[in-house]
Amino acid sequence: MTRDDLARFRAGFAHCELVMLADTSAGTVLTFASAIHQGQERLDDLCTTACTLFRSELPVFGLAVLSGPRGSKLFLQSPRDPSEVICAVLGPRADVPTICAALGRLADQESVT
Amino acid sequence: MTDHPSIATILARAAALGTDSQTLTAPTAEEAQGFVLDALAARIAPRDLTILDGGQPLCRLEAAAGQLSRLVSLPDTAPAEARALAGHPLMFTDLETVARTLARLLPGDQQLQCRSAPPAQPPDPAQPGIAVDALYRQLGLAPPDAVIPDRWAYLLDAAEEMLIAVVEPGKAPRRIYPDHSMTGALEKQIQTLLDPPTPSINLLDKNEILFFTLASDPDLAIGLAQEGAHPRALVIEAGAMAEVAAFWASLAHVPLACAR
Repeated sequence: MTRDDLARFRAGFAHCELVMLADTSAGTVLTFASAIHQGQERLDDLCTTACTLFRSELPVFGLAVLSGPRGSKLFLQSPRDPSEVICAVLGPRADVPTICAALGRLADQESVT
Repeated sequence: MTDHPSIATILARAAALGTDSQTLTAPTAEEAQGFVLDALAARIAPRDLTILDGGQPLCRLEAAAGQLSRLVSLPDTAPAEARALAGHPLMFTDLETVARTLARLLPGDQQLQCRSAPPAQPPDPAQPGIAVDALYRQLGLAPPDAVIPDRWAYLLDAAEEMLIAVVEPGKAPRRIYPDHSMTGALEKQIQTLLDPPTPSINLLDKNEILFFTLASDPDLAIGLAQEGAHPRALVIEAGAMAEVAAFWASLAHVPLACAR
């Protein structure tokens, strides 16, 4: 999955600020695309959250959504390699169901290429 | 200056969305009117706002310091008395006319967008215009925080049809739909999540819910929240997870109709 793939995905949805691919086995950000400049600290925070969700004693599998007044953060495990997690940061009025479905398609596409 | 929305809300929104104009699908009048009122309230420096509906200009409004200072231009569908006000500084006595105009122009079922530009002429500081809070009241709307004392209870009520169970620490799950399969193993898993120490709670900011699907029960999803130091959980069908998450995120941003 390239930065361009993520940028195209992000551009397709209003209220989608950031899309990022994280490797939770190494705890690193692989690539990302965002609407505005992102500090490394924010990317690292997202990556840490993805690691906590999928590599701790929490029984999370597949998809997690952290949702609150500031918006939603989606975390989706890649079906090809569950240690790879796609993260998306959405505004509070985002169409979460549509973006979740599209994120699933993006991950599926990636797993067959 | 109005305190709605707060500076923190404005900054959070800018951080979440960037500064580009965003399109909002507004199925209801509350959402459409709330979108425009939010746009007005968010302007600190004077700005000329063009509201577009379906990509076409609907009206132009001038805002400054969280107040509506001028109706710059209105369509022919606006009430005649409002069109007569266009271009002039607004006064509080114009409140009823302006609110009626917004209600007529923003009935819902709209694709709204707001474009912002510096005004051609700075507004007269001696004519502050109409506060957004007054427009909220006149339109019979209230910011959700003002009318929802307990968001969790509000969510449980609104999402009742999708709820399978609600779990509080140390208590047996309250089954909403007893027929729905919820295994003993899942109940135990949730209680483990809620019993201290609860690492999941560190992920949660105030008023956040963590929704997730499970390897053991892929048809179900858990929503974890906290009240003070204590976590609590709800169980829903996995297919409804994104919809419930979207509802929760938007809850603080869509005004509610209330008695004037």
